[in-house]
Amino acid sequence: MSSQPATLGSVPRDPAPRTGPGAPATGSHTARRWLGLVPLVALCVVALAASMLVGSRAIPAGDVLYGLLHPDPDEALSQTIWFSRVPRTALILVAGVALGIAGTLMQAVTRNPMTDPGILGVNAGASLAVVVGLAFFGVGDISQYMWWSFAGAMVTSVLVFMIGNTGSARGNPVRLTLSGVALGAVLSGFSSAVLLTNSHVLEKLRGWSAGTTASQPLDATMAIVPFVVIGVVIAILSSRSLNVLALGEASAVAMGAHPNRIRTVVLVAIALLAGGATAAAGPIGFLGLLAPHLARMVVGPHQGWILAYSALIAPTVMGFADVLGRVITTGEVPVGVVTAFIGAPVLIYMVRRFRVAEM
Amino acid sequence: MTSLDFGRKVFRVGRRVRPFLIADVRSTVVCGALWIAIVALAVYSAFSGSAQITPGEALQALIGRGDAYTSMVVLEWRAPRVLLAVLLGASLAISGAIFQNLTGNPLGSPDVIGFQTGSYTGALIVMLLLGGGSAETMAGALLGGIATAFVVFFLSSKRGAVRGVRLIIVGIGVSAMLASMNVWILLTATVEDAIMASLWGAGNPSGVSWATLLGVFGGSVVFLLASLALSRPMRLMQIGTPFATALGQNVRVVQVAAIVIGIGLTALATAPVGPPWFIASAAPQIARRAVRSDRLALGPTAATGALLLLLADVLAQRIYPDSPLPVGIVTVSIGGLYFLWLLLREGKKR
Repeated sequence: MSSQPATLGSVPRDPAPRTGPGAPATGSHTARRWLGLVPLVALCVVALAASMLVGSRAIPAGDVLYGLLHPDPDEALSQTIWFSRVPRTALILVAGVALGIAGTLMQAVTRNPMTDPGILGVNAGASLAVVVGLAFFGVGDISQYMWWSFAGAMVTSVLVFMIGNTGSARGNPVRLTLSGVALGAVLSGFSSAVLLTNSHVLEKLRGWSAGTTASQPLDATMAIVPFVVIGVVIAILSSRSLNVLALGEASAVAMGAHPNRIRTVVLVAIALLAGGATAAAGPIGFLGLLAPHLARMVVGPHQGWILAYSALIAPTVMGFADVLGRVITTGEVPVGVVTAFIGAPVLIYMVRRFRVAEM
Repeated sequence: MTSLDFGRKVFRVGRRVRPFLIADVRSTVVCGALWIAIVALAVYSAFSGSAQITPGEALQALIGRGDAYTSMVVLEWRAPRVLLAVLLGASLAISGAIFQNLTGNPLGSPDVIGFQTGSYTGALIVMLLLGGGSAETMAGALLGGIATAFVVFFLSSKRGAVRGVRLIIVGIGVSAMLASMNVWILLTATVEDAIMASLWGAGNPSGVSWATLLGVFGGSVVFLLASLALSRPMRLMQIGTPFATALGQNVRVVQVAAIVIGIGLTALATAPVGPPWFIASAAPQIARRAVRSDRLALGPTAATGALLLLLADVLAQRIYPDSPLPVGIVTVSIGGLYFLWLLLREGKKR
């Protein structure tokens, strides 16, 4: 990221060219960026529709639509749709957007293209908090353990930043990734220690810990929506500051930015987004890594646009992954497993194909 | 005739001009202290435990004069376990040092780039899908680890050259895929089988036999000696490939040899008892800081790894005596926390 020329371009709704290094190309870039949204939105809609239509029980599209529009507690078809397909689709949308944006923010604030909430241990922290809550504090349903998840995500991201960003190492991506991986390993070690000594918690969390959309009711998704919305709003408001931060610490300070203030605010957003998504769907990896990369390939180094594209790409990928997981075997493959199998090869392809900025 | 200045205190053994042996003072002292600690801990571990045996009885058993029960506990249960922990710790630490040296990055160690996850996947396939016993599990883990290593190297090499960062990222990717596959395999099993398999996956050296120990020992010693022979050329490579080439080193041969040794050590160390996580990535870093050296320090690294794993095993058996934890969980905690503390301290100092 740091090796690319940063374009101090415009926010999405302001297509007027500006003076600056990237100014001559800004007009055509913006047109291309707006144009690119059209197929992306279409794909996202297709993915969500597929999630409504495909499942272990074959239901014709017309019946799905009818069941959706006429909720009827006495009819099996309507029940299937409202208690299985709709919650899953809603969760895909909410968790997908949250993870895509959390990943984008993470990569922007660390100035490291190879991070996401999974790699930096934030998902592991959220999981550990939920595991501890379930095992030792008798936490039962999502409205309670959601808070544990937020707290875990928050504490972990603050810790990672504190350890990776102290003294001379400030802004050093290697140090940050290193402390993230180390912290993530320690936290998942603690989680397994708790799980392996409490078989009832293991039984309860087995599905969740793989990252799945199958087990949550619609209320669970709705419970995290406000937090995800707050996170998204913070992300949109801070996109300009992140553009400045992308120039580097010294340049950002010289331009009047307050890097630490930006980092703190963005950290809160990351905790809300990653913690919320993890609470509802379990730790899902690679969406946060994949989405900003794909977005950056299309739109170039512009945080606002990367955010917009990531927020569309992540639920699309998650939707297709979930549908694939439903049909690929007789049982069901959890979406977290499928996203890893989609995301990791893409990551490997990217690192072979392109010159990745040195860590 | 002036003597060479190494920039640090060294011992010289032999003639003044071309000494027979040059040993770094700090590194020698650290190594000595570590080995004393290892021996002390090993003795403690062999003499104490959940079985009610007094140190006197244990000593009798060790010199071959104990009764049948004491001999079995001390000689058949405790001794192989202690020796295995030392051997595996040293092997993992050396393989970690080799890979970190090759990639020039502390993240480039076999546990981060997926070799141990691959071993776990191999073991899971054998245990849960094929229903094999412990010998088959070991073979599966060995194959899984080696196959993963080959895939990672194949995917990260471009025109025959493997670059550090690319290797690490490819490794993290492959590792994440395998990890999620492991989760999925565990999900298809019953809860009891899943717990059994997860215990293996967290490293569980209870019930190790002398046969296993000797088998692993035979393999590891060959690789450990080979790594000793490689330590000089690898130090040279650390200066930079062009420089090493200019000094007449066949860089490609050294790299391939180092990779083979590293993979062999990791696979051998993971197969018998499951992966003790984080020894391979933490031990070389801890050792490097302890001897205040920037280069490959194989002796202190091996000693650090052995001490870490032994300590973890002793702790794992004693934290909850009722249900001993798998050692891997303790290694992750000790190694990881120490590693974090080092990062924090280094960040503050400057």
